[in-house]
Amino acid sequence: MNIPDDPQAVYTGDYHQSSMDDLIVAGALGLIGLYLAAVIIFLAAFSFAGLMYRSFVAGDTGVVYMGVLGILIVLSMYMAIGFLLQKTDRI
Amino acid sequence: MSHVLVSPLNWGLGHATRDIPVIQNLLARGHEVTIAACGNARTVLEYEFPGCRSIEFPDYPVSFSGSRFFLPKFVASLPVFLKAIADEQNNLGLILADDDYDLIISDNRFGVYSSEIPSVFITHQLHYHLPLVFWPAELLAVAFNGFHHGKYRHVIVPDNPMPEISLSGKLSRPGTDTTRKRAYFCGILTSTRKRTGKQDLDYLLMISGPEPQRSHLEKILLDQVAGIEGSRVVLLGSPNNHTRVEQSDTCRIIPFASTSDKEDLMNRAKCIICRSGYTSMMEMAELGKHHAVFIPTPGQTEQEYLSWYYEKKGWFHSQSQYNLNLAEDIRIAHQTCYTGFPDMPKTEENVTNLYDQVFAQYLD
Repeated sequence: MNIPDDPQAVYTGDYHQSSMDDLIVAGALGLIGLYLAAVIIFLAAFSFAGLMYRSFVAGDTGVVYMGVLGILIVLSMYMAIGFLLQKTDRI
Repeated sequence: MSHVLVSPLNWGLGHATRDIPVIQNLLARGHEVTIAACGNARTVLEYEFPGCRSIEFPDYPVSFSGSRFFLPKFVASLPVFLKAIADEQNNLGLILADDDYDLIISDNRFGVYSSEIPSVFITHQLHYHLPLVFWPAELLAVAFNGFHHGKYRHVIVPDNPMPEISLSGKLSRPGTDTTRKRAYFCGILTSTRKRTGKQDLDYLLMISGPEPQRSHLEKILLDQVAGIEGSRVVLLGSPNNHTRVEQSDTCRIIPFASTSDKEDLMNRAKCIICRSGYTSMMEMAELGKHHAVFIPTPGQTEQEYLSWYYEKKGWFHSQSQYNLNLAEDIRIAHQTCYTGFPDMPKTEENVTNLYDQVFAQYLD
């Protein structure tokens, strides 16, 4: 586990002397980023689903197959990064 | 004599109760303690320490979900949570302007710290556990925690320093250098004490936690409790229900027990069935219990992780409330593959070390 060399060592260094504002600002920016990412992912998924549907209706099976393959690759990579972070105790 | 401000979070009673031995230690050494809390957390500490000044200090709105989907509701409520932290910091400014303090102890209250008064933060969650699919959010939370912990002189972790007997597993793993430098692993902290006496109660079923999941578990357990043999006590954890006291030769159902009565029952019990909240886990470790069934609150990722972790370690058996078969799960919990928590330093020793190694440098 990634804990200090001596977990009961007492820290004697500095601590941040800044105001509360920067914690709130950092939290707010983090939240905006989180929600923005969620919106972008949703819009991208919606657009992609529309493209797939139009291609399917038009009988363009090549685009559909490539699209499905692309989704599988992206999802696999996403989960692989998650597993890697977990295995290396980053999360 | 120094003056210490102690401020626990009021999400359940776990934060307040684990601060009880810390406050007792401070008072025993002649320091003055002021309690700044709200709700039941304040009530409990006022009851335990009638001689201490107590200040009403609101914290955060609770956003527990009735379904398994706690996480989406929690994420959606984060802006409200952030606003509450800003309000909390403003209120703290008023409290600090009103009196002189030498040390601030914040138990999981994110806005309780000062740039002028030494501040320490008590938490067993240096790292928030989320389902793997949300790994980017977990990374974000690690970074935020590191930033937040930088506001404090020390981050006190009520868990063992030795990884092999860590009760909280990855939850107490520092994710940044800022956190790592400040983390002090003090060992378990609980107000529950081991008593001498016989273990004459076969099963103690403790139903606790936020509604409506508490009521769901109550129904599940009451439907099944008649199916097990031996002496049984069911603690409903429902203080507003003063009328439903049922009793038979072998089974008692108690709506609500005082801290002392609960401690007595836990000491007498051979096997405990309860939620896998971290406070209960520290109580189990303090009492040296070996047989238990843990039932994590659905959607509470911390409890779900701890249940999984104890199964993996071979310490205790856990079961989802949706798949619970009480008789069968009790049988499994008694198998020899479950050893209970390993021996570890107890609260009395831990609070003494915590004072000597951390608090003493700030107090006269």
